[in-house]
Amino acid sequence: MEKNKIIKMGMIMTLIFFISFTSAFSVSAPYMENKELVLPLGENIKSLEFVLQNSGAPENINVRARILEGSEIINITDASNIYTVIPGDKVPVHFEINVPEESQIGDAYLIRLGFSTEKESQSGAFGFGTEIEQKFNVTIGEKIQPPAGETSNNSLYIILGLVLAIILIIFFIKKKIKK
Amino acid sequence: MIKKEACIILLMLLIIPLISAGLFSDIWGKITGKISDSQNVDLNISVTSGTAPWIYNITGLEAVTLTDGPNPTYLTINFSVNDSDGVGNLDNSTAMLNLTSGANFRMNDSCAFVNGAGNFANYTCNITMWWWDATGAWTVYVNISDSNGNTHINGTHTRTLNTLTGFVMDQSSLTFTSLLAGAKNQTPSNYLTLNNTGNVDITSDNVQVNATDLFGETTPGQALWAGNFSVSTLTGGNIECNASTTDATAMVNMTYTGVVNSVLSAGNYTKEDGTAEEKLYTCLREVGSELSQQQYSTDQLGSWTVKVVV
Repeated sequence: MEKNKIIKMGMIMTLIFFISFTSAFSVSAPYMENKELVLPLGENIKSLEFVLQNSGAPENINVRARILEGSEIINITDASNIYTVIPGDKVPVHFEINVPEESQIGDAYLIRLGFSTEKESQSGAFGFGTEIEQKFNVTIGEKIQPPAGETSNNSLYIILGLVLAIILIIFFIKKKIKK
Repeated sequence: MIKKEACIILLMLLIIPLISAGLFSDIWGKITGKISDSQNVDLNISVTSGTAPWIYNITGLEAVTLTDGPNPTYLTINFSVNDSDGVGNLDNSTAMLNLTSGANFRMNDSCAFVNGAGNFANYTCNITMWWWDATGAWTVYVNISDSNGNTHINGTHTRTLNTLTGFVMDQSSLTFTSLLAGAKNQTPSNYLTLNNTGNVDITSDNVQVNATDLFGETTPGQALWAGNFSVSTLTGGNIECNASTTDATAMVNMTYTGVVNSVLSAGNYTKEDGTAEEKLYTCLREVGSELSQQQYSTDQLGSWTVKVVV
């Protein structure tokens, strides 16, 4: 009986798992040193543009952009989060970062963005999709100060010079009055 | 007396700018030896005739979104030159541009003369960048010489290449021949090939696969369980089935799982020598003995997904 069962099982299948499409897409992001976007204290809102491309694929693809983490400070500002990418085109995806006003220097927020190919799998097929995940930190940094250095040094010297000039003028006026 | 006072006021008017220019502080610093902003300067002096050209107004320095592989990106950078000996004294053939970032180097040794008049001339340079060129700031070096051999090199600007993350997964199929119910460690006759089409290295374990159970189309209660699949960067002798070791990674249903030792470095994958390439080999470690002959698909739980994380 057990032997029969194995024989029956032995006739079962030849499987071909079809991957139903070629995937080739990319995501370009603004350069961030050490994957860190530093927002100066007081600059609560920042626009970011990512770019989708599809150079190596033979046909259009649909890419879905999602916020996997950090949705409390970042959102997609485009009308839809699904983008059709034609081979050779560069399709922008717009985000806006909005950090709480009470944020302090050193506060950091982790952002994880997901960009995945959207493909309806055909009935009976072994569907394969692709995704690119981008992670970075938004960190609150020092306020940007106007460049100091020479300007402030020069101002100091000008003030000293003026004080010296006034002292000398007063000295000569007094001397004249005495005479 | 009035003359004397006028002279003193005039003297003061002369002193004030000198004070504001920091002259006295410099002298004081030299006397005391406490000049904090002094530095050594190396001077190379060569004696040539005429006045050296001067490069200014370099434009086309905005951040670049590279075109993803396998296509190049063409950049244009323009600059202007002032030569007090006249435009005719400039040697157009020496106008050059190069971009460097660490050990990376891209060059155009034939910038084109656009126009010029009097002492001023404009040049344009095209340069080809590639998808694997490093993200970050590249120093822009522009130089030109005149017919007297005077050269000016301007390396004061940078151009930033944005981050480009991408990969291509070949159109392919996973073919299991003669798969028997109850069979163990079945490997397909082919594999997935991933190529990095960007300028970001995908580091170890950051190629992930989200596998889903494959349910029967006729008898939905039967399935090829995702957990019975494994993926590896290695093959041969069923090594891709060794999920109990560090050679292969067992899949987890509907969960992104990093494939052990999977690395997808940036590079020129069109060389087809393994550069910027990773192969993923799958294994069906166990075919349920209860399974019947029918079609199994991802219809119920959705597609498998290959993801890269940066």
